[in-house]
Amino acid sequence: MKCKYCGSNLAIEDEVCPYCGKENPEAAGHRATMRSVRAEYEQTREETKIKSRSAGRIGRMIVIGLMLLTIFILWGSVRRNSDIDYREEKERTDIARTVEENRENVTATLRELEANREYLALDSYVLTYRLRGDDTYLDYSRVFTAVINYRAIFEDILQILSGYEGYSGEGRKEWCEDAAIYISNWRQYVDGDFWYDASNSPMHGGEHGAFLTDIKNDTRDMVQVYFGLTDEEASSMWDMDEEALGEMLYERCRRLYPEEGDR
Amino acid sequence: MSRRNKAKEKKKKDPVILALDITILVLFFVMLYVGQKAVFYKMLASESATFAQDTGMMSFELQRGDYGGLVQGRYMNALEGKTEGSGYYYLAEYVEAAFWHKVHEVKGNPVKAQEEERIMRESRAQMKELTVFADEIDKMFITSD
Repeated sequence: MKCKYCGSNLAIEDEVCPYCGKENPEAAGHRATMRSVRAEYEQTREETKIKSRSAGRIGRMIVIGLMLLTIFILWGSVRRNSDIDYREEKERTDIARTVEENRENVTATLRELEANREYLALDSYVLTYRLRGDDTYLDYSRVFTAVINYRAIFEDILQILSGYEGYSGEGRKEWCEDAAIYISNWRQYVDGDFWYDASNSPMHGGEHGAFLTDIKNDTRDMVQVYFGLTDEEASSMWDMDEEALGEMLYERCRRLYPEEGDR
Repeated sequence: MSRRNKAKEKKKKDPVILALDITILVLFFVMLYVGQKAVFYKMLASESATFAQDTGMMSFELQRGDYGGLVQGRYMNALEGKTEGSGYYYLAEYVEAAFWHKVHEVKGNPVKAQEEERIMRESRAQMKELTVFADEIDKMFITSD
């Protein structure tokens, strides 16, 4: 700008003209404008800073809230799924629902496995679908118990032959004992009064009855062969006293399959 | 304002935001820990609904000599349609057939014994590298005579 007194060049912020020394009236107004602009700038800056800080805090608090919610949900899932009782109950309910939804197929499969005398497959089927606790198949109670006993005896004999050490370090002695118990308990749990049913109940009759006879004979055969029983001993084993049968089988097993310490 | 003061001002952070950032960091690790636990138990919960065995488990049972577990695993897998393509399946079939082959042979049932022998032959042909275990199983039934 130009000095209005001498016409020299001067800056707007110059209070006096550096050439003529006269006051620059524009400078005061400029300073006032600058002060006001600066004040406005500072105020805006401060406000922005506060707003930005608040937004930052709120944003972070929202993130923390969401994280806490996620942790809470995840922890709930951990609590629920780590509870064995809950898992078992859920599993039981899921399986019961599956069986209920496929009742016809389940019944047909059971009949087929029973008719084909597929003992181990039947045992696996019963175990997988928890059919022992299903009232619909109450008539199968003895059949189910028979296949469970059969599988236990079959497995015990395999463990005796292979010398398998179970998870608790079982030896042949323990497998012999286990097998002897399952075999000697057969009459009580499969044939006997355990189920409190009448002798002519469906548990014994029809296809169940024929199945029970076959599985008992097959069990007797495998016991005879792997426990070294004579034909006479095998034919009378189911008539023997439970305790005497158990003791005889255990002694025979120990003699046939000695452990290192027994020699 | 000098550059130094500006830098100083820039470094000065809101202590509340700083605390919140630290909290977020801590919660992030807590979330990772709990999330990992949640996934583990979720898998456990879904796994326990089946008795089917994968090849890893069957291999483990075989190494331990648990032939009973192997046979049961075969039936459990068959229930889920997992029968083909696994040597373990045929080995388990072989174990059961060998078991009953001996019973029928000793009891004098040649027809049934031959049927078990056929199953053993067919299983052996399909178990590939696991035949070494079939040889062990043969010895098991011979030595126990």
